[in-house]
Amino acid sequence: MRPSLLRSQLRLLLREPTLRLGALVLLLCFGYALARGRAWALADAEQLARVQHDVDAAVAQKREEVADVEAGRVRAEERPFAGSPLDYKVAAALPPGPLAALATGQRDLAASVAEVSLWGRSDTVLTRQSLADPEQLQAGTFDAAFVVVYLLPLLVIGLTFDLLAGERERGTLRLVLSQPISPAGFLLAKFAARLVVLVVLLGLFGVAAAVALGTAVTVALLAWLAVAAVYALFWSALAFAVNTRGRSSTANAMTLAGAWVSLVLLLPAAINTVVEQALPLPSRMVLVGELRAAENRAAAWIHDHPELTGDDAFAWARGYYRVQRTIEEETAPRFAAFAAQLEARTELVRASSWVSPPVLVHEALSELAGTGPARHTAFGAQVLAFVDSLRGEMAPRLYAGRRLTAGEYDALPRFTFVEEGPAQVAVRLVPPLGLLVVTSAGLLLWGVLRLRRGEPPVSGPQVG
Amino acid sequence: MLRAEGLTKRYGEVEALAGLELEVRPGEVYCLLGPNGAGKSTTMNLFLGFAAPTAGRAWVCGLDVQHHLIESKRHLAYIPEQVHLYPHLSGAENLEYFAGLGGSAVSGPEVAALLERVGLPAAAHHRRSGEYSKGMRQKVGLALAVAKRARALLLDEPTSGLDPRASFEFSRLVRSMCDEGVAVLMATHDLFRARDLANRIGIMSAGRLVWEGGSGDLAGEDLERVYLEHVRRAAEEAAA
Amino acid sequence: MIGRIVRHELRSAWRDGRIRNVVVLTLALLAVAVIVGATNVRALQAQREEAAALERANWLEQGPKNPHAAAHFGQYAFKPISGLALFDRGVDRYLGSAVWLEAHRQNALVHRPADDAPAVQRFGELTAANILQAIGPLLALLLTFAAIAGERERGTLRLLVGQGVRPQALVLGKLVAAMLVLAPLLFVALLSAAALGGWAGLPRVGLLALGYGLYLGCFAALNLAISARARSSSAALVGSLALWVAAVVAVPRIASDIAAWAYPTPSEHDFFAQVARDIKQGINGHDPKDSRTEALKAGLLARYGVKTVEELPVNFAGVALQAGEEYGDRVYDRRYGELHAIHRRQADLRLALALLSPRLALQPLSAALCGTNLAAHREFAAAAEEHRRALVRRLNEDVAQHPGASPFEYLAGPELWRELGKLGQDDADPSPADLRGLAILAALFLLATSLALASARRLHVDP
Repeated sequence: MRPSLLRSQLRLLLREPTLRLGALVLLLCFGYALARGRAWALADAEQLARVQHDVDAAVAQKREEVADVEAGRVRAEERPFAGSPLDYKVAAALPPGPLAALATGQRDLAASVAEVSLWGRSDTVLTRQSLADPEQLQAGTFDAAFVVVYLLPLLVIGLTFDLLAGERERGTLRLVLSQPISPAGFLLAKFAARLVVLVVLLGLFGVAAAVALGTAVTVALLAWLAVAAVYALFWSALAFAVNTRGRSSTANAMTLAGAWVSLVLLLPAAINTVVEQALPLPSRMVLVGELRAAENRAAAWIHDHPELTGDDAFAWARGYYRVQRTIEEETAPRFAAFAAQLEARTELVRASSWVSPPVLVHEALSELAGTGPARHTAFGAQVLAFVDSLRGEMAPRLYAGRRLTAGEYDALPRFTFVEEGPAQVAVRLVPPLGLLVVTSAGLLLWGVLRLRRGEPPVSGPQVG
Repeated sequence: MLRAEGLTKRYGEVEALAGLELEVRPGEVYCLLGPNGAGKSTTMNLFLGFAAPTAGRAWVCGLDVQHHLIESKRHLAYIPEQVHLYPHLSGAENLEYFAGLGGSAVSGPEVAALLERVGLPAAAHHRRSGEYSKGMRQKVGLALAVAKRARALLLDEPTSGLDPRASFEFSRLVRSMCDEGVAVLMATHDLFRARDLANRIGIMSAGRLVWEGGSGDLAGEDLERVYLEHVRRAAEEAAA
Repeated sequence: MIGRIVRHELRSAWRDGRIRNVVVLTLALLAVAVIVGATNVRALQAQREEAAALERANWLEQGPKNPHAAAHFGQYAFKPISGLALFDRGVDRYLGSAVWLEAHRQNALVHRPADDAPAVQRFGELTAANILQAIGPLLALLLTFAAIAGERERGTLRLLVGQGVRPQALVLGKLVAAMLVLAPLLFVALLSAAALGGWAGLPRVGLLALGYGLYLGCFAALNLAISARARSSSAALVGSLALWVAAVVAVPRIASDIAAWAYPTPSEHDFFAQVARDIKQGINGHDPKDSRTEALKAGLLARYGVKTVEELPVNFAGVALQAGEEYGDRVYDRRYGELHAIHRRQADLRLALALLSPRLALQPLSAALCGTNLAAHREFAAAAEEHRRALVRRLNEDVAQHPGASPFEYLAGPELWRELGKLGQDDADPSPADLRGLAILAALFLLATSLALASARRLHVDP
């Protein structure tokens, strides 16, 4: 393609009122999403800091109680439970990624902080007593990922549905094609001009995001924008292919709107339905009942084995702790089955994202923003591993009745989330995104071949 | 310059053009007359490569259109019945754009000179072309033909809907291009304009050339009478 | 005249293959959604019954223990699922399904179905309600976008008006025809839902039909208004599609976002930390728990005219527990009250924004009528809380009635457990649903129709 041709198409496109309006609306949406996302991410970070602070303060107070006893300021009998291993608590937090403002992902739904101690059981560590407004959760946030996944294709469609038909219906196509230029070349130039504009719009958003979030233009941000660009490429290529069928602009608009509804609304909902029907989860309610039955049995068992609890100040704590472990052991197979089914669901969704670009792109955008399902799953697993290690450290003390000393409080384990390496993320995301690029190229090629094969599309569907 | 060689086009059962033989030489205006559906537009489309011939060839400047779809259009300019421009661009911008498509970029002063030459008032150069009359849009079309230094010009019903004065101005411009050696093929219903402008006239009916003659052949004869008679005769033959 | 227009339009719609295909496709989707919904609801009901029976057995078999220990063991209550949830799951997926009723604490419900669902759920669910809310307007669009603009392009509009057809009658006729084409979809979806739900909620199904009818009518009328004013049918299509995207996809999101922005919900950490502070330091911050207990003790000793707690004819621990419980109840009432007020303000704001999108009026209405909205959830939570308070009071009373050497030495047995019933609110009639959405939809429909008629009055017959 000659650069002059692309230039002239760009100039023509920039004069188009549809583009000006569409670009303005898109940038406004991006701006709103960015402002909201930024405020939300800041509030989220503050919230995490507050939880961290409150938990640390509670532990510090416990430490002071021990220190008081150790220093002889308070008599030990007055504080029989001071230094109880059950009192040590850690706030295990999933830090918001630097790009969290760009995609809410799972962050408004899944737990991103857990208070870890010897209390409770593994199954309840991440269970939330959520107070969030369910309608907000159901509607979803108006984040930049939403603007990309839902609204960007609509701008693409608005700019491309009459790529060819518009020229024909306005009557300019005959004059255009009487110039020494091939229909495919002409259409490709128009297509490229639109792609350039879309990339520039995404670039503008990227710069705005970098400024608003106070980060430099990082690799992650570039990758985020690249995913959005690939998605725009897919929709443009689809629109290009639809245009080469030579139908009217109304028919094209309907076809593309239908494709949007099918791909963005219906297919993901259908995937959701298939996943839930094909891989039903064991009932949480029944699991609760089973846990409680196990609790009754464990309580009776510990009642019959007073030697396991002892009779010092920690007797009750020991009994409680043993009961919880017994319940966990007894119900472990049930939870394993539950987890296996969840894993199978994740796999099925991942497989289905190969055929559903919006699902794929939505997941990729949230993964890159650090709010995706994989990162939350990893967080859950790391919290549970941390709970185990904490128990490994504390249980012997509890059983032996050894109190924590003030000095020990400072050396106890803390939780740090270990991020997944970029290579692992890439391994997961690049192949399906690559397929999306290949599909787009295929659609373009198909369209070009179609234009090459037949007579120039000057007279529309009914030749004669 | 323009040559049709046994040019045939069938759409399914319908024969739109049947073995047309035709040649337009440089500096000559050839007018194609004929009722609607006679094959005039098909001829134009075949010269433009908008349709592929079922048989025969269309030559533009010695290039077989079918095998040189792009190259042949470097030498060919086309003014459709309605010159549709981008309404939100000015005439000058349209000219610049269309000329650029073919790779014959024109600069600002050239554009002004071209539009000047085809008689578009200077005040209109930078007005939205959506406000132009048909005649003004056609002038932009002609300017485009001049800009690309076309050696052959296809005109499809150029004067329909023009008032007599605009029609006259248009003929003058076409004539002046002809004088520079451009070959003009014009399809029209306007017998008066054909008589006025053409060096040669062809009458088509049902995809065939049923009469051909130079302007001298007509001498004192009435073109309307010749036209009606040949069209009627062709229709009778077809019925028989 | 209108009758003739309607008949003509119906015939054209029937002959339009595109419309027929989309109607058939939508019907198929609705059928799948209703069947899947019914299966899910049945499964959930069965699971809930199983869990409730299991839980009852757990409560009864907990063995002899001090009533306060039993209060800590507590009971679990499982939220019932309404029959019409098969039509519209509302916000049910984002609300907990089980609540632990224990001493001292008014817990929120846990185990939201959404917690265990893959991330793709955020794209929405394939329920009949969602299909009607999202695809229904598209169907209305297909039926109406070219109604006037197309006739104008074909030149038939000039002919019609020339023959004395009043443009308003034309628009009304086309509106009625569009509604008649859409009506079977509504009725098929709603009647099958009602049938599978056991016909119990028939009056509610009627209201649903009305709501959805007005909703689709809004879109049909607005599209007709656009069609009457558009330059071409292609422009009308783009305009109507833009309206659809804004009203169905974008505005509902922005509205919830704005509502959450205007009235932020506290995090659960902050909320429960505040509750703990209130209980420890007093609601006003100057009435710490220890001094409350001291005051209670002093009052009780004075009342019975004794000097020490041991001399009291009641077990002071039980009395103190109940007093603490009641103080906690006051704290919870106040803080949950504030939280609910925030949710209410959010809902009101969203409803006010329904002027921009009828979906914002329909969504809460539909969920309310199907018993899957926040109000239905809260009703269950309130019943569960009432039950919890009665349960804990009875257990504390039992402690109080058994004075002894050490406060928690006394053990109660199965008789007491049996006496304390389970939460029964299954057969309770659903409370009246919030019908404000219906009024808003009716107003919007009238507005849209008058807009269409106004456009008809200034109709251009030529392109």
